[in-house]
Amino acid sequence: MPKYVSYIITSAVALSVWYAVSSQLGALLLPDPVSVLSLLLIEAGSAEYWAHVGASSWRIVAGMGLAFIIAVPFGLVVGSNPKLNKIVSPFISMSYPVPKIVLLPIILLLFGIGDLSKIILIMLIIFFQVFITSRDAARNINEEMILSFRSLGGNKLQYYRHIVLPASLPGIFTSMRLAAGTAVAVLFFVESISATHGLGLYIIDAWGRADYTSMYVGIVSMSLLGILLYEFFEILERKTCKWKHTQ
Amino acid sequence: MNSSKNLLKVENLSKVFPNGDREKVVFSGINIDLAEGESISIAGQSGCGKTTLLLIMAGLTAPTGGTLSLNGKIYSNPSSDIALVLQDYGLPPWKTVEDNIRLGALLQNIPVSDDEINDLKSHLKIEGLDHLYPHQLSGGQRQRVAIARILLLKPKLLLLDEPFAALDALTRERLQKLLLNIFRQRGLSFIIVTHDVEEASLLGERIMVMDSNGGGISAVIDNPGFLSEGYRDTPEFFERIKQLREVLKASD
Repeated sequence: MPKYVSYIITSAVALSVWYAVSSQLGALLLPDPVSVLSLLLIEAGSAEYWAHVGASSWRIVAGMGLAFIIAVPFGLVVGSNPKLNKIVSPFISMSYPVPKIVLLPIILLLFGIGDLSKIILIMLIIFFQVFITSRDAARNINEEMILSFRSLGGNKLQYYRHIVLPASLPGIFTSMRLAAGTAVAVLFFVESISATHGLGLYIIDAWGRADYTSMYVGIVSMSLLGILLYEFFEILERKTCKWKHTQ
Repeated sequence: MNSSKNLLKVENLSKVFPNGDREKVVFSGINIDLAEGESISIAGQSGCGKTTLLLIMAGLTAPTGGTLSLNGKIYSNPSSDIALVLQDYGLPPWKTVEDNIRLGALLQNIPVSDDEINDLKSHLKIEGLDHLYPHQLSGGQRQRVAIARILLLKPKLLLLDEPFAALDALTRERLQKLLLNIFRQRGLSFIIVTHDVEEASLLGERIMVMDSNGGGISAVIDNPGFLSEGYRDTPEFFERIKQLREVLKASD
């Protein structure tokens, strides 16, 4: 079944359930999907709505992009060097379990209440997931393949290009897909605390005004942002790891 | 032994692994002289250090003692004149057959023509598989691709580590025949390590038996008829298997 068909079916089921629940709970608690989607279409015509979407998109893309750019090469190098891994791993083991979200006040103090602090917090939280996946993927490369590659005359740089990176890509994209969900959650949290624009603010503002239809427009928009990111990494994985998708 | 020029010389080679407070001697005092166009089978029980010896000869692992020289030059790193074929083929699963075949040439920046590659594919019977990935091939096809990849580099010495062990009997027989054909036609030298007494007797002009208790080569059996037509069915072949089996039992 083509993917878009399964998306249509899933959306239809979700909307039907939403409609059924909304008719039980009442429009005050859960507006029906028709009202929410109608308002979403109206909002899509306003520049203010797109300013919120733009601010959120920029923060999440920049945060995830930075995490990817830093964590992937670092993880691959550490995973390929047992000695370096021995030095770095204790730091990772100690810092990974620390809930980075509690560092928000410090990050706000250091980087201000603008975009930078939000991007850094997203990056910091995503970094560990992507780093650990990249490191473990590089560490688990089949020993015989490494020997065979070295015997073919491959140098260190070629080893990363032809073996480490392609071997690790499926795991990296899986971690990025999972990270998309985490990043949206962090984005909502930071935008609800301090922002002049952003979907997190849009939701909290509508909630404060008891404008539940608008609040659900914000929730749907933020969910769509997460879905788009998830799909982006899925497409990227399909394009760059064709071998994984052949029978 | 073949009277041609010496290609590989292994002198007093030893390998010791640390084992807690003590040391484990894998092997010691190994001496091998391999002439150009000669083949040697190295047989021994599992764990006697055959693979370690092969990896040292490939320049991939450092020995604890001793020297290696190729064409009179001492070496300790991988050389473009030495190619290694392993049991699980070492084909990156993300590269197509075509890319896998070209990989060694690409890494060493060796220009290869399409004709050269097509000839090799036709010789090894792996035509029409260019866009497939290794997991889409049979075990025999994968090993042929691995062989094509190293033949493209025109090595002088082929080192094979139980290359056919994971294959079914018929495929193994076909590939053993193919290896002997390549050996005859290209004048390649090769060293194969195997625990299979039939394979050792079929492919080596000399069969060396490795000691299982940290010693060196405990016996060398000459196998002059190994290239003769239908050798596999001759009494000489069965006699060689029997002889090798007895030596292996004695070396355990």
